[in-house]
Amino acid sequence: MHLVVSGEGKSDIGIGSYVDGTFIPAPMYQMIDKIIEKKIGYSIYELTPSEITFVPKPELITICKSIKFLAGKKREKETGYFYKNAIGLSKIAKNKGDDVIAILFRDSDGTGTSPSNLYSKKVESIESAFESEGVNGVAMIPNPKSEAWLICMLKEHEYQNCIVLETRSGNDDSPNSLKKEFGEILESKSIEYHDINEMIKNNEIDINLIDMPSFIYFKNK
Amino acid sequence: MIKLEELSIHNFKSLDKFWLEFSEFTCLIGLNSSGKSTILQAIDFVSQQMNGDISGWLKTRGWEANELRCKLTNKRNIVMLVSFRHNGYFYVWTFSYNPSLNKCTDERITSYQDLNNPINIFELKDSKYMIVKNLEKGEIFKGDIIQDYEGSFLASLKPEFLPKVIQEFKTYIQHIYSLDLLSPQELRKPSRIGSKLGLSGENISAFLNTFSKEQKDELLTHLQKCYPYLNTLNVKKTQGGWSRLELIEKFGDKKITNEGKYLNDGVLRLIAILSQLQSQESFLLFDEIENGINSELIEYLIDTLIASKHQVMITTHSPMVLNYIEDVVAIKSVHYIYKTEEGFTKSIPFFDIPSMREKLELMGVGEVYIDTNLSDLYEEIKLLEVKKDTK
Repeated sequence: MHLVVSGEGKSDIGIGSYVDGTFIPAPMYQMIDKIIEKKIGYSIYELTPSEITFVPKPELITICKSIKFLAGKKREKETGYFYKNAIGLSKIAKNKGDDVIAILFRDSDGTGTSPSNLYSKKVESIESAFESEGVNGVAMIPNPKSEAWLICMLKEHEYQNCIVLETRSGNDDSPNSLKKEFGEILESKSIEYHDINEMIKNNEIDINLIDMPSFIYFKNK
Repeated sequence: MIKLEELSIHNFKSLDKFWLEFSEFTCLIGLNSSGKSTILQAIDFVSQQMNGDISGWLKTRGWEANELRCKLTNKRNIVMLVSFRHNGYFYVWTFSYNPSLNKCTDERITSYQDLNNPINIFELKDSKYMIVKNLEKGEIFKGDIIQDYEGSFLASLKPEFLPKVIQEFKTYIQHIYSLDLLSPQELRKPSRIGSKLGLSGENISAFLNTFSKEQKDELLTHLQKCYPYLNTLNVKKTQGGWSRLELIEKFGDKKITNEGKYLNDGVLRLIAILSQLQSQESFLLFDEIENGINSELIEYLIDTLIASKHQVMITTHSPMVLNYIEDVVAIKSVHYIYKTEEGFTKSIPFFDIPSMREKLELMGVGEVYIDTNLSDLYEEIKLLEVKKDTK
């Protein structure tokens, strides 16, 4: 099985080079790896790393620029950015054989200003793009952003009542931002950000206990 | 050489504490009734201050002076700041127009040649004026205002009393040209020789009659790129001092003459727009530029406007027009016009809005616009305003 993944940057899926195939994963990738491991019985990253194609955001943007898109009766507003990203990733995935899964990670509210109903529109627009290209693809969209999923696993009463995290704003500048809260949790537990990779890998934290709809949707897909 | 840099408007219709930066090419976008046309009207109002015929201008538009004031404030005077560069140096013209008196009662032009020591090179206050004609030679005119005038006091003064920078600035402002009411119906009509091109495009034939042969040839070359069968553009003089427009098309050996009154809307609008580009260097305003223009011609028209020697400002609702603007140009030139909950018109560079800038990474300018729910965009702008205020 081959995996084609793309994210926002070093703090979600990871960093690497599309040209020479290097990839240093981050917690969101570790979550993907864990979910797939449960299904196929081994970690792709540990056993078959050459079966991972990591597409950094700038490369994906370059590919997507030439794809034309206009909103209209057949395409809702505020979905074009995600749709084009997914079409771009599909083009890469199609060249990797038949047994391919494409995963596109994007925060639901990257700028902290998106209306709440956009989560489902974004998932739909990504998955409809995968479908139209005939690619087996999944949208990985934490609502409102990746910190919400991580807070759920690391907060004081871990895994409890995490659903309220989905109602928070993604705005990093707000006084009680998810980003700030996540930073405080790491500090209080003396955890470095990259330690989370190992914690997920070693099952010190259990992603399966995250009870947030945006995560459950992704996991079940 | 003059270049307008920024305009600030206070107490004009829905515009109060309003700021807009100008580039060589400026494009306004926004929902219907957001205030785009009001901005064009305000710029035309600025021009009329220097022309000194506010009464005539109000009559043309069918307005009363007191209707110009913002109904959302209790202010009496309309105040505007126009910042500009002359040969690279920075200046600001400020005027306060009293609608009841139909003239500016407080006015100044400040020179920032020495940034640490700005000086007023023209000032009008308490019915007294002061003009620095030549600071080095100590040529400073001062006195009580005894003449009657409309609009700016500068409109009533002969060029020889003004320093070069004000002379050139005055001419530039006088030649601001707004085609915000461009109407094919008016363009079709014949006109009296010598009359000016009107807001609706009336008197186009008389206007073209003032062109030199070179100007006419250049206009024809532009038009031929859009209409390959076009052979000749004529202004026919008729009896009684009237003139009318005539286009001759050539198909093989056959020539067909089309009188102005039978020409289609798109051709007439294109002639009006392109002929303005042949006129004296100034600031040109075109409202809803895309109206009646065939989509195949939009790219040519936008490229021509952007490359023009004039400062050009357009408004548009068309994603297609926007898609033909390069990203680098769009980042500085596309301004989003919106209304606040209180009813005031405001502007923000469209790609200063983070989510719009993100979309521009992989979408065309028009694609970003049509993909955006403009009603929701106001929420993001409000957050940006809060951030700005906090800083």
